[in-house]
Amino acid sequence: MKKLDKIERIIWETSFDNNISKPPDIDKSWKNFKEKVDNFDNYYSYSKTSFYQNLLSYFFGIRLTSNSIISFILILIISAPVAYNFINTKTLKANRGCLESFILEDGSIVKLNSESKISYSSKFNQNNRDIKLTGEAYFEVSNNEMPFKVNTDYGIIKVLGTSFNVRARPDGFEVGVISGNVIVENKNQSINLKSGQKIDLNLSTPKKLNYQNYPGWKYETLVCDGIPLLKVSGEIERLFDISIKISNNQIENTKISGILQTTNLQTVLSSISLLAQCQFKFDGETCTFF
Amino acid sequence: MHTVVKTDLEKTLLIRLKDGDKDAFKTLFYNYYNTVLGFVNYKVVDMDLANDITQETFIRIWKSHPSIRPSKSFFSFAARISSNLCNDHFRHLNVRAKNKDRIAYSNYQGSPSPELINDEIELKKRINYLVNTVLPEKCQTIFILSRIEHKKNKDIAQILDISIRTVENQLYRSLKILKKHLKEYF
Repeated sequence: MKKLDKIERIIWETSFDNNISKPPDIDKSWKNFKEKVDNFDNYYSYSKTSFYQNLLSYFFGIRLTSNSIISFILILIISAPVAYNFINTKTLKANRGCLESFILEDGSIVKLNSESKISYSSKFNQNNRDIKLTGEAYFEVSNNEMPFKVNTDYGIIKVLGTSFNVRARPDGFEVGVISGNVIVENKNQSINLKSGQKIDLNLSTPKKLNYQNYPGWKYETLVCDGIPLLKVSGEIERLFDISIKISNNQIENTKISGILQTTNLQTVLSSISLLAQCQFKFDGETCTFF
Repeated sequence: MHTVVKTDLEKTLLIRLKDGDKDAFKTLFYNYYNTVLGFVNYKVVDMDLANDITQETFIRIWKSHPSIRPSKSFFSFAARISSNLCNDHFRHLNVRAKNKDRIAYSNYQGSPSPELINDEIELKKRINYLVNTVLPEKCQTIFILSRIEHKKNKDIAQILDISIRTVENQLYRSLKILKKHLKEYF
């Protein structure tokens, strides 16, 4: 309340009623009321609301009208496919700092790199062999008449039986084939990829896989063939579940080349700093290159 | 059951009342009867008359329950009905009074005699008269709930379904208006 001046205060205090006359007993008032209203006790509500509707409205304040019933049914119908997918979708994932291997229902082997996941419907290996991938994964697809499809944000990879690696991360896309053939498709084109070849985001001409033990992460190595420091950092962050800061803008795009063993974080970090010709600080959670 | 009506519960009670639920009406009656009675009593300054008017108010609410609006505050609704009943009553008195060449409505509307200026009871009566005649409806309701029925601002806000800030502002505004009309007293 705002500050009152003297007169306002006198009015405020004087108006306070301190000898309020006692109201009559409320039960008496109620009895009195019922006598005055004809047939109050025999009054019967003719409204169509049922007991359950009353119960609902009592607890949730919801009134069931024909409109609300119709909209409820509509919501059910609209959300049914989503709910169906949700119930019938299986998800396999590898968290940050973890690598995971799975065998799918058709006998195919999937190895997931850190912070990656695949999901597929419960009808997998019955109607189709479709998989949705986010992150990076290595597949050894068992031979089968049904085509094996990997859907990513960048495009679809179709195979019959082969082993290959797909990297579909926010910072880039790459498919590399170890054995067999795959078809990589996006909206504009489709490219046939043979064993020993890899392709990147642009789907231009395939490049040669120029080192053994591809993909590197499967053999606990980090293969850097002229990759900017920023991208390498992202890879290390995921693999070891740490965060990396690069305080010097100039070294962000330094190209790193080399094959690093990823068994020991300290070794990795010191090797990187050596290759990028910078220094680093590591406190257990955050690493800073400067 | 018959204790404090919380705003959400009040809404569901009003929805049930709209459907003719007697129990819902009874709960509202038990919760609000005495509040409405105090409100009316301050206007008519006669407990028996106030009781009659309050009874009539609730009878009218019961009779009009199918057209009730559950989103509005129940007390505002009851206060408006009882105010109209009070006005009807005074109009009736005035018609009778005119015939007898006498001014009714309230005995305290004339200028006070000087010896009474500092008399607290006189001032109280004068304030009573002014609250009933010069205050806008909203100010009047809030002022009576606060000063006469001793309700806290928080409770008034809940009863009328408005913000506490509005209650404070309306009370302050009421005081300003009363002060203007009470110049001769100070």
